[in-house]
Amino acid sequence: MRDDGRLPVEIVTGFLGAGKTTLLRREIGRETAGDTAILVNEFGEIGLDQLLFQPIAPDVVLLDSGCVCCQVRGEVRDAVVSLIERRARGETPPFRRIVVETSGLAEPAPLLSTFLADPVLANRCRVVRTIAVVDARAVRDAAERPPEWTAQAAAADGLAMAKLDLVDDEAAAAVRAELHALNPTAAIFPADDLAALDAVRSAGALGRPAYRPTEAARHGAVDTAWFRHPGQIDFATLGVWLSAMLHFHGDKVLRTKGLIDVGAPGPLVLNGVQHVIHRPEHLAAWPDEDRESRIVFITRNLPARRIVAALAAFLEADRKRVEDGVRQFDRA
Amino acid sequence: MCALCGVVGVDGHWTAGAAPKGQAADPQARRAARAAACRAAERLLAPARLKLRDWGGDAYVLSSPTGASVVVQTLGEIWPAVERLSGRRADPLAGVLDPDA
Repeated sequence: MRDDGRLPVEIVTGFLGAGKTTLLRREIGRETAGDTAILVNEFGEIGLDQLLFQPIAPDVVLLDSGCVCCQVRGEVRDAVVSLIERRARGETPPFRRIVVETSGLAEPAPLLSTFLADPVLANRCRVVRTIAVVDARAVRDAAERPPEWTAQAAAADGLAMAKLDLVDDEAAAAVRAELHALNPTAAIFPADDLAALDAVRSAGALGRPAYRPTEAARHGAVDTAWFRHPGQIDFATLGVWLSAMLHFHGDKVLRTKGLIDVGAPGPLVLNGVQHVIHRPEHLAAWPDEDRESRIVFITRNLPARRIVAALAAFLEADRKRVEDGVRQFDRA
Repeated sequence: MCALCGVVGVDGHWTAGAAPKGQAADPQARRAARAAACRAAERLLAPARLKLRDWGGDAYVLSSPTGASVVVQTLGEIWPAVERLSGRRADPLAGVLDPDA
């Protein structure tokens, strides 16, 4: 994503006990942590008392590594705004990115919606990715997964597999395959592999192993299907259709993500979580040889192929309508 | 902002951010995109017998055959307004079955 002067925000999700705190604790201790402000649920959980720090405010401390750590007492929105104001006043080091830890039971869409819809936040920061930490032992029978777990995994751009040391290699491979089937656009990596996490961060939209269509997969109530379309798509037409579809079914559409051929040298990146769609981003070039528009829909309690079929029919009718118009114009 | 109606000309809907770099400020490209959006929306609105037109590049007007009309700011506001105006839903999945079922 291009730098537009707004602070990049990374959201870290993960179900209760998944290993979010361990991941954040590793982050805090890194040499590169000095450019980061981390918002956590509880100071106590990250073991602040074992670290060297200097208090800035009751809920904000400056760690020895240079990382600013903030405990979210009320709304995340207020904590982020307050942190940005402190930065502007010079009360904290000039951190260059923000990491927000969500509560284990939080679904990601409301938080994303806050960042996109709140005028203050939308002007000052932009959500660049969501990382979901997944306990490798908890990726079990689909029917037993809590709805929040599924929503977090589907919304993720990166899936960090935690506690891999507690499962054998075969189980780890099965976990990876299961996560890929659920969310084929996410990069999947071991949670303790910080180099892999950095690769996800530096790759941006282009380098993710994302957009390679996989077989449609149905896991219990969760369904994944790809829409593919050769040739250019009129984005205004697609945008209207998606806007209507998400208005009526957004609660069942866990993820919408894809690359759209809009007739430019590179595609448009479409990225949405439930009702919330990020402002589309133009890429300078396609990430691979495949030039077809493709969108993955991950749904819950709604067949994803129903969406794909309806969208294909709508765009096909649009194409025919344009062709008929051209024919009538030629005859006239 | 429109001087007559006081509508603020900022479309906060995600579709408004899709114009390629350099075209976002091009009024002609913006008008063309809004006209295309109206045409696409009218296909979804046909069962409800509603029309949609661009209102000065700042808003949209949704109108019924009986003359009732509603001004909406963004594409996202159209769909609840359709239900209020016509009592019908412009659901793009209506009538589409699961191909695998």
